Amino acid sequence: MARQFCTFFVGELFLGIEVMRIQEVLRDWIITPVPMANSEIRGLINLRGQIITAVDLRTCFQIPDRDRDDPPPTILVLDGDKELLSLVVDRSGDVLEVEEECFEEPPETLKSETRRLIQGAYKLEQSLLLVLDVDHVFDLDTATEEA
Amino acid sequence: MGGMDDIVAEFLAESAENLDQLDQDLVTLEKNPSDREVFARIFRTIHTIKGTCGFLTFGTLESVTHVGESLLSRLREGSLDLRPEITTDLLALIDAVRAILANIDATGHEGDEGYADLIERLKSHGEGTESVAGIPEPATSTPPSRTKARARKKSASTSAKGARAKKKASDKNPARKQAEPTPEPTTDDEDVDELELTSTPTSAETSIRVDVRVLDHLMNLVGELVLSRNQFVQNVAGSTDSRLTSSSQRLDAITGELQEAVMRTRMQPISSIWKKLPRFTRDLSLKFGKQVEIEMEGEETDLDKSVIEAIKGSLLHLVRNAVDHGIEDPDAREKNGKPRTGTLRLRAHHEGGTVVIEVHDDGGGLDRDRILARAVEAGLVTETESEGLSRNEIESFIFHPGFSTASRVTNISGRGVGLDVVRSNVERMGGSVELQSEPGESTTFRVKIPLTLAIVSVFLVAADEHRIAIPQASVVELIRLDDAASGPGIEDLNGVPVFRLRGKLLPLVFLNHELGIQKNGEDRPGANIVVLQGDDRQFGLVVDAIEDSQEIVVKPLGRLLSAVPFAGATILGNGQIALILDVFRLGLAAGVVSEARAHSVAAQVSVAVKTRKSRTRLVCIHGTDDERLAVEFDAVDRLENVPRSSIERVGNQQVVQYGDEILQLVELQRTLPERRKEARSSPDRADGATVPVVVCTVDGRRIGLIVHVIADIVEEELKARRPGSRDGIRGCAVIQDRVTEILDLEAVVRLADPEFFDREIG
Repeated sequence: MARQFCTFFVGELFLGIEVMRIQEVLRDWIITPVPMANSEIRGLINLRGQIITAVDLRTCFQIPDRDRDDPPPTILVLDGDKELLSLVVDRSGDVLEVEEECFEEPPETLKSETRRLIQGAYKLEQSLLLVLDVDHVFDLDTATEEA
Repeated sequence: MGGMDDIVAEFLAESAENLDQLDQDLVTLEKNPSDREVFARIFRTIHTIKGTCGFLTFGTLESVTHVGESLLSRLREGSLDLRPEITTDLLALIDAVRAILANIDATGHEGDEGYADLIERLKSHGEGTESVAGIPEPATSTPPSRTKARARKKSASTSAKGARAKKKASDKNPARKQAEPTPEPTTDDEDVDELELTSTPTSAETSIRVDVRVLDHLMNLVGELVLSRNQFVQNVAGSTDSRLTSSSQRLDAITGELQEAVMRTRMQPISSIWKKLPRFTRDLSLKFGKQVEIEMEGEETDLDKSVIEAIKGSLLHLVRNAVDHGIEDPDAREKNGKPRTGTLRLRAHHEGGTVVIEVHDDGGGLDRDRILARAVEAGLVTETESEGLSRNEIESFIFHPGFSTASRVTNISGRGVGLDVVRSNVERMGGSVELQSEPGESTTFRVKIPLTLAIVSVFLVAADEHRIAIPQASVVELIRLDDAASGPGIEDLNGVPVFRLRGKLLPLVFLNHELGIQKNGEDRPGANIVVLQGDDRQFGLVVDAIEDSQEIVVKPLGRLLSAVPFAGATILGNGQIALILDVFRLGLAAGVVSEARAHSVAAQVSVAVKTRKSRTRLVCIHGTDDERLAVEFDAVDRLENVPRSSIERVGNQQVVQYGDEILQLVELQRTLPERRKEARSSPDRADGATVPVVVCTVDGRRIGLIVHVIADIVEEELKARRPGSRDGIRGCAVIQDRVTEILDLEAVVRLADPEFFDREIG
């Protein structure tokens, strides 16, 4: 069984989300910051009148912020459980089809905060595609709110 | 399968509506047993449910409704009188049907309850002539098996709705069916159908059922259209092309009308909640041994669906309150020269952009002496203070949390939760509750609520580059301070910025500061103060600029943003997002509003009571950068000043000899995650000879927390709590007017030393 992944880059990481979960990919989009929100929350975006929370994967993976002269980030809009949610990534890659037998548990070498958000990895010829645990990314915030 | 689900869904939705009507009908019928039309309606509803559920194979539901139907048909024939016990059991039947339907809705199954008791009781009313439900058919009712067969046959050719409509018609005359045991030909059904429709036009002809989500979506789109229109009209305003300007005007007008029309689709008459009330009051009055008549005026008053949903609970509470506490026992009423039956009157009407709902009872009114006595007893006021209180002030005590004058606690009301919740609910929606009471005569609650929650008038203010919308309902006035202006301007009172507004001191809150915004730009000269009403207290919000006032469409923030002091967001004409300020939460976070601080004398004294009730002792710690932290006193063993020289290192741990044990130390500031990304400039205290240490016991083990400054030990009620926003923090509370983070000791220790709890105590 081959699965299709929408791939993207965050810092040095090459990540993927199952293509069916992605509703659309936005580039050059204005993100309105929300004061007092958790640091993972980059802000809000206006998608044709709908207001969507944008979570920055750089912060989630504890990667230093983008530089001022870096190209503007890309936003992936996902169908969350009850609402649309979005992820801020550095740039999007291709849609890849991968074979199930290439799948492996998260490599031990990953930093712990990275491992938490990763379901596993696909060994590709050139690189390693890390599968993002989307629900976990969005859960992070509720976990700290409940403390 | 999908088709079947649709049929079930429609069955559920329709039955729910019918059941609400039934409640009302049965209560009406009890008063006026000869009302044939009402009787026919009840009978029809039950029969429809029975028929449909036979077709959908819901066995329990079928047998329950079946005995109900048998009983009803006897009542209708007149061979049985409608006694109150029967009404009660019929109402119980409706509850049972409702419960089963709820089960079906939730799980797709009827649930395990067989309702054998109820079936037995219903049957016993029918003089015991009926035999076991479901199997042998009593002579007076339609055999369910036949209904089933007929329904099935029809559903083959027509839609479920069609089948139902015809069944409904055929139910009209079971007596005739009885006389004519063979299934009637369809044409016959059709005749009856038409006959019924002409005699009582149903709402089905003039209305359709629409999913609320569709309406919400429509509403959103119209909101967007309004914004686009604003933009367009603005752009065209300077144009000299007359054709363009005239079409822009037309667009303007039509959009306005469309907006209004769409708003109307979301409107529901208030009767949609009121029609539950006759049944509700009947049950209550039986329970309390009271006689209550309910009157309604203005049932057709329209309200936005979301408002109706939001007000429902509060309204039920007021009714409950009136029946339980307001209206007296029949004997007491007679003694006071009143009719034995009390009257509960509900009135609703529009007043400007708001809806006023009144709940009036002709009961004993508020007993001010008793309220005052209770208030003194509860420590809300002292006796000396109580003498100076006005009538209104005394009456407003009943809105205090935990306040109840009921001498007994019933399972319905008098538990001391209630009116305070009603008031805070209504106020949260931007409404208000007023109270009028004549001792011995009556009590009236006047609830005033906005027509819709979706569109709000706001002032747009700037906080650096952020655009923040402040609901006009919370704004009292706007003040512009010029540098050149005479007068003292913003003053400092013991570290708290204040402004003298007509002789009164107004505490000030700086929006930039509260939102943690570092200003990039230069300070603008002068200041803009928005005077806000938060809870009972006014405060001034200093903003960079006040830009505009607008009507905006409120959009909810997602679940990830539940902890921010914003009530929602909106999209401005230029596509920019503006956040809508939650004034109450901001005031709470800034410490200028707290539920324990209000303007009147009475309320101020209540602080003492509240704190006495549930206060917690805390050790307050000041962090670097004036951060406030606190540890629950119960966990603290000792506060020590440990000489720096005596701290030793073992591996990567810091320890100190403490009595005859070795105490592990944890540096609080290094352990807690930084709140903001920027490193803070903190005064370096490493040169001090000693460090303050809080010695605590966590999970049976001792640990020492090295802190910056041990400030104070306080006793406070942890009322205004908020969840913590970083690891190691259990939550925030307002302590001594400052937002203070309360440490979760176990989490702090784990952060510092993840293995701490796993090691053997040695």
